[in-house]
Amino acid sequence: MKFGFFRYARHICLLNLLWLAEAHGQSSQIVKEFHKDQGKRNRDEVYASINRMVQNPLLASGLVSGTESLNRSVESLMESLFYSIMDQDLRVSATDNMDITSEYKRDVHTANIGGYVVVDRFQLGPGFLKNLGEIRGLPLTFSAQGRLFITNASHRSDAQRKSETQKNGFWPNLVANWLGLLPLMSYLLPPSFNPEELYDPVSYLSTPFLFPTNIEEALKLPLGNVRSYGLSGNASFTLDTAGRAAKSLQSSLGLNDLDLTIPLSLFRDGEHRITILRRDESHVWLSLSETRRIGGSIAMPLGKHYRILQKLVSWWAGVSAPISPISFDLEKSRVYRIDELYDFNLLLAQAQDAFVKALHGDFQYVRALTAQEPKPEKLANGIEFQFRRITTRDESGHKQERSLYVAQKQKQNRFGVGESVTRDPDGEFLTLEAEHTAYDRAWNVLVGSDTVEFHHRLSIPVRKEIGPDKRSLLTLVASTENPIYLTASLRIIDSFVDTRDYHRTLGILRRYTGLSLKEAPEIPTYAEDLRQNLIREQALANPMNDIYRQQITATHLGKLASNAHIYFSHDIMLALARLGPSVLWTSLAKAFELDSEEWKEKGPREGFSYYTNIAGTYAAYPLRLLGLEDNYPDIALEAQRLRRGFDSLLAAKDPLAIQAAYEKLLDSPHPLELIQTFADMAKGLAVPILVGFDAQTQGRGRDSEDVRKSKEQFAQLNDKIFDSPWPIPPLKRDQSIEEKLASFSPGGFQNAKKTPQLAQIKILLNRSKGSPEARLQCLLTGLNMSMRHGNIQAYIRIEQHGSLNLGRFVLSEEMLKLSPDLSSISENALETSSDIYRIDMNGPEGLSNSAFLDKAIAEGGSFDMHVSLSEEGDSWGPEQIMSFSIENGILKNL
Amino acid sequence: MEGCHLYSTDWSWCLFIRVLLLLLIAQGNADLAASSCQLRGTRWTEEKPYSACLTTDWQALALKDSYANKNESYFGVLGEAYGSISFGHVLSLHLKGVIKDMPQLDFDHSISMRQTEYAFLQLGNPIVDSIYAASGIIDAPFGLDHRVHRFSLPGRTDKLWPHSVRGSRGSIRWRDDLLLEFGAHQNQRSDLESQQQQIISGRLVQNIDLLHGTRLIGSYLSSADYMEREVGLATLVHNEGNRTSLEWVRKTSAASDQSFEQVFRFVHEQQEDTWLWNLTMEELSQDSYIIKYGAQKAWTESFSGLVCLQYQRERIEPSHKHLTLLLGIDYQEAKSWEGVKL
Repeated sequence: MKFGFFRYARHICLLNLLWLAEAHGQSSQIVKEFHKDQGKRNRDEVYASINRMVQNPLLASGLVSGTESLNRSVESLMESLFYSIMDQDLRVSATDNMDITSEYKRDVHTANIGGYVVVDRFQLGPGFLKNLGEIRGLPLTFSAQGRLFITNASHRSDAQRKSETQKNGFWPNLVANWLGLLPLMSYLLPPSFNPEELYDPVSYLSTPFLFPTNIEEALKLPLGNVRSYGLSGNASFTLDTAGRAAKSLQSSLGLNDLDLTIPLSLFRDGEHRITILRRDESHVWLSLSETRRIGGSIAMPLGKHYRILQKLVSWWAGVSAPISPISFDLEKSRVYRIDELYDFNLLLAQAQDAFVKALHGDFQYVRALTAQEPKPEKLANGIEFQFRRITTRDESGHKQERSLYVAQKQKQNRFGVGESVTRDPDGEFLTLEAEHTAYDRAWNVLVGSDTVEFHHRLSIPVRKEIGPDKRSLLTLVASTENPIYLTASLRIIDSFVDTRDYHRTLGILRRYTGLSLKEAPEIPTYAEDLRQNLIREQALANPMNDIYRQQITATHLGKLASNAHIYFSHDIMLALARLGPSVLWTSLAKAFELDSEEWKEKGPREGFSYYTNIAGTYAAYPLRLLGLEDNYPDIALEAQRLRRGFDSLLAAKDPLAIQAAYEKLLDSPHPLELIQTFADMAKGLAVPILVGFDAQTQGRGRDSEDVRKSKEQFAQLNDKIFDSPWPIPPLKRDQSIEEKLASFSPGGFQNAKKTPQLAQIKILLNRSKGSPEARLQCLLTGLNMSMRHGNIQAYIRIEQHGSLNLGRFVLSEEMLKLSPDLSSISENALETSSDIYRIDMNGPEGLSNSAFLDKAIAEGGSFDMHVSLSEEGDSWGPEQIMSFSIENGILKNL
Repeated sequence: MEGCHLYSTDWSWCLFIRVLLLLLIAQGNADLAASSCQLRGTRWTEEKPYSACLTTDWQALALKDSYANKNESYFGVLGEAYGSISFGHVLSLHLKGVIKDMPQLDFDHSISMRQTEYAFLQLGNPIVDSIYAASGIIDAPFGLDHRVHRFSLPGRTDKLWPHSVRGSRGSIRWRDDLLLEFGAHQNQRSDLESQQQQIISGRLVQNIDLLHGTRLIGSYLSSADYMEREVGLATLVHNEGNRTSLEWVRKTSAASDQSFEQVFRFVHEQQEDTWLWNLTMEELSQDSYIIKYGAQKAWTESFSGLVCLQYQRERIEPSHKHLTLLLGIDYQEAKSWEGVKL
């Protein structure tokens, strides 16, 4: 009776609402802001600083040396099932020892949230392999290969894919999407599936013909696209040292099923490459690079290729299932490299002429025109010499990988010390460098990859003079305008972040920078209402089915990318070096999460605990080499190394000694703990620090109240900047060169032209009096609009925010040409170069296939709307997401 | 009735199929979870009430098996009933029985089964207790055995997972993410005492925070004389109400170095509104391959229709290729009672 009354009352209320809506018309609106004001700071400057990272070292090395990049070196389930269809090679034997190979290869790297770097490569050339005999029963081989290669690297996003779809028309679009299979797979497969891996096979197959040969073709390149061609070659002697002892150890461990080799190699390789990058409508950068490497390496891959589900269908060979529990690679080499870069304005005739010559490998003309040759013929208009740099460097690195088919873990460390002689338009300068990069990547078949990258770099400006005894002397030329400082950068990208990952990321950033990041929202790991529901629903279930029971898991939030930069000046480092040993031990103990009070006393005494800790380090070393252990706190050895480094720094009188001291300080297997120690020791000193976040929430299913609250908190982190009170130092000359070089890895490309940014999305639902039809509209406020009435385009994708699922259910995906909504433009908008655009989402002028919106207005529904803006469709601003629902004809923010 | 070509001219078969197809495409809104017992409140762990649960599941099934130019049609019922009485989460009694009667049309042959699947006493409840144990007719803690239509469709892998065996098992949970289960059982393969086998088994389960819950399961089973051993690895993923699993089980015998039995199985169940889809791929080494694709559509809280198509390719003589179609109507009901707190 009681329930009946309430049900009746509810109906009355609903009827009343409908009557009110009918009689007076009904409207509702929701708003989401994206770019928050950063206070008095120059926002563009701050964002530029935040994004000043550091090319992906592996991507860069892959592009430069043509070596196999990390993410595809061990196959995963997704690769063996789907992606490998793109990697094809054809091998033809010429003699017993020689073959000719042509190879297509695609690598996709995560550049940032929603962005990828797709690198397509075609190469062709001979390979030579000869068995030279045996040394003490171990086989010795000689191998050599030469390759002509062409690469096409581009920065891509969903918006760009859709933009191409609309330009290409029906049939090319059908082929690019594998006759519709690609969208279907994106829908059905887990979030780790990346459609970019398979998109557009036709362009992929045309990679060998994509390098432009004339001005017209160069001007047709998409903005930010990097294309290159060149020759590479290598020769090596390899001794497989997996002798009887290693084989018997393998047997005693019960690993006979797996294949083991331990190749010890001496190698020499080289590459000559010409690369172009389209910067804007008229300007193209063209670079020439020469690289030579000589060195040695030892590796130990242990694994096997299995095949499963063979003969399920008689003609199918089954699925390749490679397992590689252990794989490591140690390498030491000397690198000699020349980089030369020119900027061409291709609208000017003289630049066109020089460009075509350079494109075909003739650089004499452009060098003469830009006064790089002793006797310039004439100075040219439209050609700007950027720099010529000669680098000599000693590098060492190690790489560990573990692949269990559905999950992978990869680590790479590279340390380089050397010098660069650079000539730019202001003259020649010399720098000594020490650089450490560390890259960690974890991948699993469900949620894809997350990456953590450290990049620590020091450059010392010096001048070379010839002394009386004809020996060259280096003199420090650092000054207030050109200071020495150590730059420490960290980038973390996670495309499927849950609350546990979020806490981990915040924890790493807090440790790395020493900032408290108090304003970062505190989000509970679990949604309490979900936990209670699971108990309620499953407590009375049959205990024999407990194995299928669903556990409460950390709340999924969305995507998160974060960058941190710290600048330690040389003076600060000297101040740290002068601090007493107890300060160093205290900070190190904190970094390794040990008892700081205890180690503050025990550490400097170097007693039993000290030597026990060192013994532990040596015991853990083999496991660390195999990638099986990386958490042992090597406090004693790290303290020893840092003390030596600090002592060397205090004693250093000349630039080479300073470089050697920093080499000692930076060459650490614990980059996080190292910078945490420096940051802790430098507390209160003038250390500029900058931390930035890019956070996007994702709707996955009908969220509970607590989950929604967590996502709202997470969304507050987007575009947030945290910093220390000290200003960021200006870019040094050699750093500017580094940034220009980084542009050639597409992840590092920063568009000279600002891309439009979404500042606000407003959605309005209007139902006019007496009309049965409701109108759903969207108002987009964009920033950085340079063309007042130009070709502004919007990419809009609407996905179901409902009871789905492993994949992504796309309801509508569309590119729209926009015209500013003049009625909504204020005077303020003109000052801030912002525009407002009105888009009909349903109705006759609405989105195509928008019937689902009409249905939602009538029956209710929840959606995620992805929006990105572009001018001319070449480069796109960041994609923003707004989640909303329509219930009883009323709009609600999700 | 010749037009109703699902291999049979039998009028009742055709009528049944037509009615089912009509019902399958009918619209409806139902919550499939309503067919299981649920607590009324969320304060169960504090209040510890007496509770009882009774669920029944009845299916009217039509099955058509086609192989080597032969067609066999079965039509009958499958019933499952599960009941439990719990004294808080401390002590509980559980019973489950299965009954199946599917006579073959045209022939005097029937697939019949009457089985007590479970009858056991349990101390503790896995959802709140870190230690719990059960004794009676239970499943040995081994592997995952994620199977759809376990009793209604023919399969060849039953022998690899010891279900409904007499014995005891215990479980210990560390933190929230690691669970160790172990048990000793008598695996009664037939009524002959000589074929009864003492087995011990263990299962280590790691819960991972991936998607809406992921489990890694490692299992070991051995006969008491260590003549037969089984090892298994499995992973189970929950996401948005969907379940996906991948399992590998290998059984070896000390009597033969060469022969072994091995299963790879992939199962995906996907919930979309009132539809529950499932896909199974299974390989039993040197024996057979199975691909199974099915759906269940809920019309009301209790009634649903189901359809499943199974292709089985045998690798041993006579190497038949079976194409099996299953159609059915499912009725599920769940009742639960909660008493005053202890």
